[in-house]
This record gives sequence, structure tokens and C-alpha cells, in this order.
Amino acid sequence: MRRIAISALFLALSSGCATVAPYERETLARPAMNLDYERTEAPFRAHVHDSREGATGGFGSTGGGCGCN
Amino acid sequence: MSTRRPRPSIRATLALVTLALGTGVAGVRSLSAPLRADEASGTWTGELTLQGNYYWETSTRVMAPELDLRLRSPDGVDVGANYVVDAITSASIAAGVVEDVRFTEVRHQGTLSIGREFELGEAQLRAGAFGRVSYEPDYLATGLGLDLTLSLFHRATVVRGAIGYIHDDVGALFRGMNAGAIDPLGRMLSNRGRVGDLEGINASLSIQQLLTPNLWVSASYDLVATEGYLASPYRTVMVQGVIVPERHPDRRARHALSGRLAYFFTPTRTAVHLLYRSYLDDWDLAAIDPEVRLYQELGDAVTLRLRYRYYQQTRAFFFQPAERYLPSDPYVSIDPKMAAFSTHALGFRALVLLDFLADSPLAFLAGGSFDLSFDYLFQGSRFGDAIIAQSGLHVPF
Repeated sequence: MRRIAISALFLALSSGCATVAPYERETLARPAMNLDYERTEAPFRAHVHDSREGATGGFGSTGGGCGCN
Repeated sequence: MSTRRPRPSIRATLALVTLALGTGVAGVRSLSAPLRADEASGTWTGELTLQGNYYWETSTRVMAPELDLRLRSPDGVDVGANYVVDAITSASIAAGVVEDVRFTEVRHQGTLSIGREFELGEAQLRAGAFGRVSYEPDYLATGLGLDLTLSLFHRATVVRGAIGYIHDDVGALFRGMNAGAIDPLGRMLSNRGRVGDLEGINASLSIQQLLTPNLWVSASYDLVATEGYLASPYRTVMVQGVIVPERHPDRRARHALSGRLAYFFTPTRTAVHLLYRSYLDDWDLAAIDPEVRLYQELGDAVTLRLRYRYYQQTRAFFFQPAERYLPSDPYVSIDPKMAAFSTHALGFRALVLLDFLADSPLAFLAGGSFDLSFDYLFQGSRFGDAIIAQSGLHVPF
């Protein structure tokens, strides 16, 4: 798992120079590729998972602070 | 069974992580340029979201309406406000108590955030802060945080870091036949007062990277380190014929590593997202969490989403069947979240862009969207199967 994570991070960082030009990003703005369209539904789902599962966090959102320990 | 194990000081862990990360989490969002106000007219812009959330399982119902407001100024300042109310109706057997009593609680949560983006040559740096208060009759949770977001290569690379501090006050209310009774002096007889507090730090570091015009990836690391009262005052365990309060360790360091890959197939207007999270904490609870999401565009207005999520966790090192606990055990628990189990989730969502209303009396909704989702959770834990239903109306202005 650690090797996969490090490889993914290296891939992401090393590809920074291969910039996708702003005018090539039409597809990335579509609802299927733009996470802004899921911004408000994600916290409640994470709250449910935090209160019903032993794990927390992930995808840049940390849990806690809700009395669901 | 041994239930005690040495572990490093949580304060030392927190200090190291704080130094290493420097700043805290904001969450991986899209790589598209942030919506900015009209610089020519100098007006602010924003988005208002009305969200409905519903959760159902055999012993619990949750209704949670939510209001979310985002504002952006022409010079790069953004302000966010979120308010959510949880109305929870539950049989307390869901929390693992010996006596089953049905009760209803209301939780209020408010979050405020503010940030500003600065131009650094060809890069952009956003600095932000947020605060949150969650109140329910037996629990007060407060949190503060800072976050930094660095955008590079015309926003093809976005790196975010954040750190937050939480402080919770934990109380207990009597949930028996006379719950809510008031004495002649106006005191609530069922309020058993404060039973403990909890402090902690949340920290996160994430990166999102565009790889091609159809492909992006992201990865993040999250830490939640807490110290204080980590059990539930409502859960008790029958230990050799004697009812004792649940006892958990008073420290916990939780680590999550996650990744996401999104690819869009242009010919069929289909997108696939692969998500994976792995989790580990110092209670020896480990979990994996793979998920796949399939998006399909129908015309210009509708996007459908199907998702499947699998979750599996191991048990905490001190968790065992109640009949095996001994009076001398330092930790006893019947918390279903501490057991080993797995969950499958299937979900469906429909998103409709409301641009087609531009020439109608509802033209103010044009540019906004409406979504409806439904998830069924096949939970292997004692909570049983569950349903999540959500709907949202997003209105830009």
C-alpha cells in the first residue's frame, strides 16, 4: 500500500510540468468530472460513515466534533 | 487477553505532525478556476444551496435540513456559511445500552469560513480560516482551523494543507420514563451534567493533479488525534453479571490515506471515478474502503451517477464479546463500531442543470442545479441495513 501511495504521489508531482492548458479543460468542468457538484452532499455522507464505522477521514475531509464517538 | 499496550505521547505526536504539515485541510475540490466575482462591475457573486438529508435504519431516523451560502468578492475574498439541523430519533438500543428507550434529540451545527486568494506570479495561494460549533443537549463540539491552498501550472496542480483544533464537552441526559422532567426550580432532572471533555487536532495534506484533458488524480493524508473522553456515557457492558460503564482508551491517533482517479470517455460521455482509502489507528482498528462511481451524461442537462462502495474493518484491540470481559479489564466496550465487520453500499444520483429555465418565470434558477440521490447500505454491523437519501437545490447569484 505504501509503495502504491508513494508511486501515485511521485506520478502526480512529476507530471506537473505536463500542464493541461486552460482552454483544454472543458471536459474537466462537466458535472461528471467537477467535484464542486458534489460539495454539499459529501459532508452528510461522511458524517453517517463516521457515526457507523470505526474509520474516519480520507479524501481531504476529517471527521470529529459531533458526539458520534 | 491483553488490553493494555504502550504508546507514544499524543502531545509529541501532535507537535511533530503540526510542524510537518504546517497547515490544515480543506478537502480536494475541483481544479477548475474558482468562481470569481465580476471584477468589472465590482459586485460580489455567490451560491445558495438548500439541502435535505435523510438517514434511516432499523433503530434510528435522522432528518437533517441544511443551508449553505458562499460569497466571493471581486478581489478574491470568499466567505462561506453553513447551518445544519439534525433531528435524530433513535431507540437507545442502537447505541448499545442495556435498556431500550426511544428518544429524540436535535443537534445544531454552524460553520463559518473566510479566505482570500493571492497572486504569486504564475501561482496562486489561498489562505483561509474556519470555525464550527455543534450543539446538542448532551454534547458541545467546537472547532477552529486554518488552511492553505497552492495552485501551480495554471491550476493543473493544487496542493492543500490544513490544521484544525477541536474541543468537545461531553454530557449525559437520563433517557428513561421521566426524561425531560423539570423540578419546581426549573432544573431539568434528567440532566446528569458533564461527564468529560475531548481535545484533538485534525490535519490534512492533499494534492490534485490534472494529467490530461480527460484525466485527473488526487491523493490525501488525514490525521485525527484526540485525547480525553472517547467512550459513550450511554453504553454499558454486562461484565460477569455486573453492569459497568463503557471504558475506552483516552487517546487515539487515526490515519487515513486516500486516492481518487477520474477519467472521462468522450465518445460515450461517460466518466469513471475510482476511489480508495486505507485507514489505521493506534487502537489497532484498520479499514479499507474501495469505491467505484460511474457517471453518464444524458443530453446537456442530466448526469446520472451509480456508485458501489465496499468497507471492511478489523476490530479494536480491546473489543471482544461481552461475556469474555473480566472485571479487571481496563477497557470494556460494546460499541458496534469497534467490532470487525464489512459493509456494501449501492447508490444512485441524478443531477439536473437548470439552464433550460432561462426563458421561464424561474429564470433566477438558470445556472443552478438540482440533485437527488439514494443509497442503500448493507451494513454487516449490529446497526443493520440503512438508507441515505439526499436532495439539493443550488442557486447561483
